Amino acid sequence: MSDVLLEVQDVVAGYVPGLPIVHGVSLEVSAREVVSIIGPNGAGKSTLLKALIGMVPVAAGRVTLLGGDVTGLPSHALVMRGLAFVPQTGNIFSTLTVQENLIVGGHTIATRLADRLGRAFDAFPDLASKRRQKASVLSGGQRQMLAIARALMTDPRVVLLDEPTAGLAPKVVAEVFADLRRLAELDVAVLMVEQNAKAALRVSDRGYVLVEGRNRHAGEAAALLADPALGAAFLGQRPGA
Amino acid sequence: MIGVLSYAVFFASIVLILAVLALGLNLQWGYTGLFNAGVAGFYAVGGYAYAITTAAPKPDMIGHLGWHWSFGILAAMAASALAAWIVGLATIRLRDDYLAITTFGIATTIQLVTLNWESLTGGPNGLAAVPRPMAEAFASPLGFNLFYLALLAAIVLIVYVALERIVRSPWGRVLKAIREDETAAIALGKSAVRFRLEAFVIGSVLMGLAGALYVGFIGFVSPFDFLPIVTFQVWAMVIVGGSGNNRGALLGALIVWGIWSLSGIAVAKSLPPHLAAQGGAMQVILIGLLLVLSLLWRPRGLIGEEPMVSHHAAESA
Amino acid sequence: MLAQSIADGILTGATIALGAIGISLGLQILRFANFAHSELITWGAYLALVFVWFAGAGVSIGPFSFGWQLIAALVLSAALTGVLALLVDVLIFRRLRARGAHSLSFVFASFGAALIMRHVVVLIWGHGTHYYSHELQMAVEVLPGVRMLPDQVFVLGLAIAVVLALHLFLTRSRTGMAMRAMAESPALARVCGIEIERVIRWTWILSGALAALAGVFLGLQPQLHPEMGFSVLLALFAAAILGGVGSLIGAVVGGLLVGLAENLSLLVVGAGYKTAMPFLLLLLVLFFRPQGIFGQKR
Repeated sequence: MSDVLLEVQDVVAGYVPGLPIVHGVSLEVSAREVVSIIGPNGAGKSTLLKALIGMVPVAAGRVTLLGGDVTGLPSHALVMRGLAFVPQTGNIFSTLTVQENLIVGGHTIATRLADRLGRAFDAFPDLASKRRQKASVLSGGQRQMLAIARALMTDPRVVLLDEPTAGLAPKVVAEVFADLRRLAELDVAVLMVEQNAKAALRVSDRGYVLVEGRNRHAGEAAALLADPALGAAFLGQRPGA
Repeated sequence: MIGVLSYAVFFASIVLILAVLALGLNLQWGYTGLFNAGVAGFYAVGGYAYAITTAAPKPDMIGHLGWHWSFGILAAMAASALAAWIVGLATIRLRDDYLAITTFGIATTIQLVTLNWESLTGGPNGLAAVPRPMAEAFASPLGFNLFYLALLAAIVLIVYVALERIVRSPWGRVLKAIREDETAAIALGKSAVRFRLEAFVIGSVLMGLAGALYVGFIGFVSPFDFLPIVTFQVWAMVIVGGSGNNRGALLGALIVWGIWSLSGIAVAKSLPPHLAAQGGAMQVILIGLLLVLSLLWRPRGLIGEEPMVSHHAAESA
Repeated sequence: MLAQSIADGILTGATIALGAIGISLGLQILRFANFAHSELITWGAYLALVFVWFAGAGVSIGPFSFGWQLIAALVLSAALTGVLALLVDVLIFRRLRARGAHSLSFVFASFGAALIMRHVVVLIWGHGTHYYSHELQMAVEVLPGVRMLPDQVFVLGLAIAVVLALHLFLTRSRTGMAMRAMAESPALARVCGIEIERVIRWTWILSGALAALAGVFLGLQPQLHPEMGFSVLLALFAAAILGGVGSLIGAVVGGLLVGLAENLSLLVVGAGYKTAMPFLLLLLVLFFRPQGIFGQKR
């Protein structure tokens, strides 16, 4: 069995104390896995991710990362322990150059900057050709690449992504999902929230369905894809289709 | 005995005049959330407008229209209204600290004008022999001062009642909604700007009134009555009293002016004359401490409940 | 006449630019209009004065009015003022940050802090003027029709050097890049693992150091007095906003433009109104292009 890298137990979280959006969610991510979180709008999926990276306060529950209890730790501590986050919007610094974005991304690790930059540019050649340009000149797809590359600069063990394919052209969507699959194989586990449920589940190992801030379903991705009830509710399939 | 009475009357009069300033600022800040860092400027506009319109005509001076004091007061209020309207138009739509910077700038510029435009303002020497309301009717200074005190009390009462009415009116309720809910403000769009501008102007009119009342009391106007420290004193009054509360503004005026006067007496009594500047500095430091400490210790902060939801929503978007 | 005004304008502008950079850092990274920055300038000047008194004015270097003592005083004062700035943050602003206070609370607190800082200077040094040295200087004809004091040339040169060093710091060092990242998006910076509090501390220290330099430059031209910082505060805000908040080049260009406006206005308006010029510029900028010359629309 692969080891569990990230374990979330009954987490309650919300922006305003006393008004939780996440009402006790549990999940886990193991090494080399791609795990998707799907569900209707307002289900608290994004809020959960933000709580896991320390941007939204955790009111109750436990979060364990690489075996250690990290509940309530500030973002920079979580990043140093091997967690990374790609927000849905505002995920790159448009006033900084592509290279500066990556350097800032790797802020917490002072060593081997050149190596890690090199790896990032090898993985995303599009970015290499624009390394000294301001990030604002990048196209939508390239920005997403940069956002992901930026998150990888700290050599995380688990990457959290909030709707990584939102607003992207279909061809780019396919590329992003392929990249995420490859990431997992390179031993960076992926936990993503996705609106594009079907496509996400197709590249995932497992999935969780969240409704109104609570766990509703969970299981192997293939099983979730095949479930007709889920298909109607969340995957855009008509009943009996 | 007369000395103590005289001083008490003088003290109370100043408190009432400052109370009008505080009520004006409270409307702008407490009810509308506008950061006016140039209170002294609108105060000055009122004071000088009163002096310039009521002073007896002089050959090389602009203004000096020799008007009746009641018209002088109206002129003061109108002048402040105009100044506030101009400043407000330019800045009401901007972010909060830009309004602070701009109002600060306006007050500084007005101060420059009072010091330099000698044919209008008398420059650093100011203007003397400014008519004091009904002064001719009173034989003794104490008589006049008592009358004036009564006049001020009546005016403060009228202003207080009027403000309490205004903030409970539909207009006032919209203002409160705008202040407390940013999304409501956005939804109201252009109208929110109009409401804020109106509140800003009305508040400044009160400051101009206070200026006229002050100059009418003293009979003399100079740039040194309207220094930046006045802005900070009035801010202290509004904060100490509890912003958003008209009663608090009145109480604050009493407390802060009381502290200022007491500290002034203490300093004069305990320090040798050549350390007067240092003594004055200690008074100001006291005001500064009052401002900072009341901010740090108030459990509800400067603006009451911090709008946590909108902050977070904006930050994590 | 015009050339001299322009030269004077550039000189004033250099000093204002240094102060404006601190204001700009505050607006962009600390996210509030810091009215206490002017008092850091004043304190920077006076702290340098203390060292100069202590060490004695010494022998002046070449055509300058000061000796190596002032240079040392400058460095020492920059360090001390940086510490003072940090102290002000720890005592007041950090507590407001911990409470999640609204940005206006910070502005308000900065007013109070400024009052205290300014008048403690009066308490300690009195409200008269002071000088770094009483050496008289001869103005030198630098260009046809343009005369400058050697001290002024020094100020200009040093200001340029400081701006260049700052540029390198912001673009090459990890802390500098973290500051720029935070200026754009504190949320994203946090997600990158940047410790916000640490960056804020460094911003205060840097602001303090820059303020000290501006203070000494002001003090050289030609004197120190407790209101010296306060008297340029409006010009600093005008310069920072005119140039575009968050842009180093913006603060520099803004400072130069404000300096030029002040000095060129002397050709048409009386000296008494000189300090109203920055305000006029500010109003114009806020009316026509609130984000300034180099700023981004927020």
